Amino acid sequence: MKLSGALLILLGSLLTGRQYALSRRRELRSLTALCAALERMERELSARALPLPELIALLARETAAPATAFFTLLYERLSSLGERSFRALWQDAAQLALSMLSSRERDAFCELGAALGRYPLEQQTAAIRRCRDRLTARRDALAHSLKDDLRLGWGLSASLGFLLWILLI
Amino acid sequence: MDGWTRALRLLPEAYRIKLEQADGSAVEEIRLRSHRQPTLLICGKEQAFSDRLCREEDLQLVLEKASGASLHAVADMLKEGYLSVNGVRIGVCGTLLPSDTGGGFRRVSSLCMRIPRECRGIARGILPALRENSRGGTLLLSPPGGGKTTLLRECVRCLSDGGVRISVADERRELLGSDGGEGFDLGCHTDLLLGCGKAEGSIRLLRSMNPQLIAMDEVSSPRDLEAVRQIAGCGVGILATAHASDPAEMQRRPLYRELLSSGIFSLAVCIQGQGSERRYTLQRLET
Repeated sequence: MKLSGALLILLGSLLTGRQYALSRRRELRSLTALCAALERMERELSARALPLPELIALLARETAAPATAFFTLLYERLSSLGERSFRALWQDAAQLALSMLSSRERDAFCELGAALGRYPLEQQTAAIRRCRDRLTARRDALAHSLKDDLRLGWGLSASLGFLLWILLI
Repeated sequence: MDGWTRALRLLPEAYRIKLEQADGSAVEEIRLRSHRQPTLLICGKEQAFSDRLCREEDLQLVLEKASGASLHAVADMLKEGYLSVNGVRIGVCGTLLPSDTGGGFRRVSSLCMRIPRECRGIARGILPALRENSRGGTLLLSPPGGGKTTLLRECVRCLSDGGVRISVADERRELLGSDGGEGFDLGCHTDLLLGCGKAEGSIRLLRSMNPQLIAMDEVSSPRDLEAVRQIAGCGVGILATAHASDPAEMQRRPLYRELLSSGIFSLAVCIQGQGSERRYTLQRLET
């Protein structure tokens, strides 16, 4: 009985470590997808001055997850434009579809909604660039430290599991 | 969907609900001013329709809705002081950004939404004269808000259905009353160009569509005048509107004086009255 309890604890600890590793990888993938989407957004705005509904529909079709989920959600919500501001719709969609981001990066992304569609193109593209720079910095830092972080995460969870095992047996 | 319904769709919910049950047939404009009651323009008089004062956010929401949250996509129109969506022209007033940043607004203080209408039959009395002059130039005259565009739309429809090949560069999309989909009926022999200025568009139509008559809504700039000259020089008729009560008033403005002295226009239709009480007076023009 004791042995199986200890094994369960060890397994739980390892699963926690795995969960941590998965969440870090998901965050990295999300940041990569969002940076690519923002780059495309900036390019389309600069070159074609696309209206935002058209641009958002395009990005919903042609970006990777979770950017595609974010833009799809935002596009669906555009029907309530006029009742709610674009900024509020952008923030809602970001809160729902980008929960894997840390709050700092999500806030930076939410801020972008306040600049889009309201100002001259140059100011909009500058705001996109600022947001992309912040996400890129986070992505690069994450990519750089990912292996070490994962090793640390696995190590800590395994050590905790073994410690509990020893204590219990 | 009529112009009234299209205009209501752009309003903030609190005002839209208030107006949905109202009869909009006589409403010419909806006016929203920051920190004031919203009003309807009926027969030249403004009447408040809600006690709720208009907030700046309401005006921003209307603009966001009208532009699809993309003011950059309508910057050219905004520079001219208006925004046209589905034939509803929204005049915008407020504090401008410095012109080098694209002519947008720092703050919006007033909006004036003009309701487009189709009034069938209003041109019946003047049609024989228009047909007779369809190879020459005809001006439709009235002060702003006098019903020039509505009359022009009806004239185009009647002449076109009567067999005249007409081309129109609908710069503000007010004649068609839509952004390219189904709009007002402009007749079965009308070719419509959207998305470009009326002067450039008219010249393009002249070259490409072999029109018998070109319709222009509001001749108001030297470029328009130059386009009119080119069109007339090719033997194509012109049906145009201009801001003036009558030819005498036109003579007081240099651009229109030049237009009249060119001899291109030989007939003027002066629109008088307000609301549904409009009178159309024909006047021969002499150079």
